[in-house]
Amino acid sequence: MNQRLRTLLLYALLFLLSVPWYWRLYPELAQRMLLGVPLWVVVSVVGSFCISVQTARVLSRPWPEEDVDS
Amino acid sequence: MNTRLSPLNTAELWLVCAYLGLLLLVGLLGWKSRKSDSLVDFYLGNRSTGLWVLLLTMYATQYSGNTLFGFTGRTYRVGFAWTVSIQFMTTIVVVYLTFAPRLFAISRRHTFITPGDYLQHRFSYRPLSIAATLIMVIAIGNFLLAQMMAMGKAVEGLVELDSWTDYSGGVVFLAAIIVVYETLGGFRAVAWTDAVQGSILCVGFAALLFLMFERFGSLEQATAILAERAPETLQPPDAAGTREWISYLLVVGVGAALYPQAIQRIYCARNASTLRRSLMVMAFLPLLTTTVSIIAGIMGRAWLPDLITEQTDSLLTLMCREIQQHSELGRWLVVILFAAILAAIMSTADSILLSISSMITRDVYGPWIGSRGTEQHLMQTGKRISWLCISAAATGAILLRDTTLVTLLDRKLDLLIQLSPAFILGVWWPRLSARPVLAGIAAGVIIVIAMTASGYGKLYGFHAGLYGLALNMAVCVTASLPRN
Repeated sequence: MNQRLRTLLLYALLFLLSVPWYWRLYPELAQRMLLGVPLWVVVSVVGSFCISVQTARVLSRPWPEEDVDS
Repeated sequence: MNTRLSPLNTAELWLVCAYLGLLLLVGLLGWKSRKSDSLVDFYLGNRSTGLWVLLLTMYATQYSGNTLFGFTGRTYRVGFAWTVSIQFMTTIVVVYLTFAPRLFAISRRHTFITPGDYLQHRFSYRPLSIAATLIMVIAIGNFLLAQMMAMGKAVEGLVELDSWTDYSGGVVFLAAIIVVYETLGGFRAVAWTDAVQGSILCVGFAALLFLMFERFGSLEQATAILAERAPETLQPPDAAGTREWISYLLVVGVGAALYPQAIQRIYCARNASTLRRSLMVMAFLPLLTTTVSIIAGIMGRAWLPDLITEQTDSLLTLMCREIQQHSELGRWLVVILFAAILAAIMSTADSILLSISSMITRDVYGPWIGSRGTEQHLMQTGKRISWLCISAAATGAILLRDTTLVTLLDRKLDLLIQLSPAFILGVWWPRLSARPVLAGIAAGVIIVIAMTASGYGKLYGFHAGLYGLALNMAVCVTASLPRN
């Protein structure tokens, strides 16, 4: 699997987890409190954090276009 | 309920005035630091913006009056479901990954100043460049209007005059400051004031968090109150809510990445590595910034439960009023927070203004006037356009005082995402050709206008812009395929 496809799949997985589409199936679990907020909110925010980490990881590699630097 | 700040005392007003004076001084420094009287120097700071200024100008431009007033108000109305705002702000940086590296490289080779320059280079079709420019001007003109309204809301009650006078006086006074430093120092003034404003914004968000917990108690307490009084605000989104969530990710993620002022920040970076590292930090800022707005909205819903819809965009001001009345330290921290609020609004407004001025001057007026338009003439024209635009926006803000901010946010992004095939597909797919792109944009915009005009700003949870984009993409792709 090439790197671009792996990156895309990882993003897809992270968005799938952080969009709270599945919590309606587990209403009691969704309402369990963690850090003063419902669990589904915590999972969503942690998911966003993971997307940020993944984005930073992608951006940590130099772009092929960097040879255009002035 | 009184949603205005308590009037500031003389010392506090002086502090705010000193901050505004500092912005004018930075504008003056920007003017003195100009390298040449050229469009590229005026509109892009000679493409020499370093890491921290680039980061802070991107941050201050991206996070606006909407983030503070619109997002807290929306959280107040819908509860934790507005956590989507953290995700859509994160998605913007993800979308940058799809086109910023290539666009930056092309912009360096061909010395672009405006987004229209890229379109003209890529498609060599003036009607497309002009149509795209007009859409961008209309869309961010809407955003400029929202910032003007946010400025008015922010200053309501600061001095002891009636509400209308405070609001309209604030709009006119702050608009004048923006246009003065912007026309003095151009991009350099805007980016440097953004750097000051971005720093104040960071301090302000920290102050807001501290003040809220100190005055209202913990988030846990607020959630417990909501669990009893408004349990619907704690619920995860249902099927319709999930569709709306996904729609926001797409519309804001793609649309906000295509703000012309954001594209121009891609152009202005000193080099690719500077841009890349700025975006790296930007990826984490939604978690530090938007989260605070959501917490403010939740605290407000718990502790100030009786606001009517029209008052919810003023929630932050109301909370500041509560804090002001609570303690002397609170009063002074609110002044810092107030400066941060102004920073968020003004830094977005100045970037939009400069962007509109550059696009009208370079993409519309420049081709029309042809070789008669020297760089100096175009710069002077651009400055006049800035004054005209801000006058129009300030007048609009005074006339449309009670429209809610998120409504304005939705409409501009519905339009901007229609340009995504031209920019995102355009940098990747050589077969994409000009006329299909223009036809696609026209189809998309017609859908957006028709749906919005008939009351379907969202349908089945999805924004009108996405329906427009689906048709737009279909037209672009199918009409580009048979070319070869």
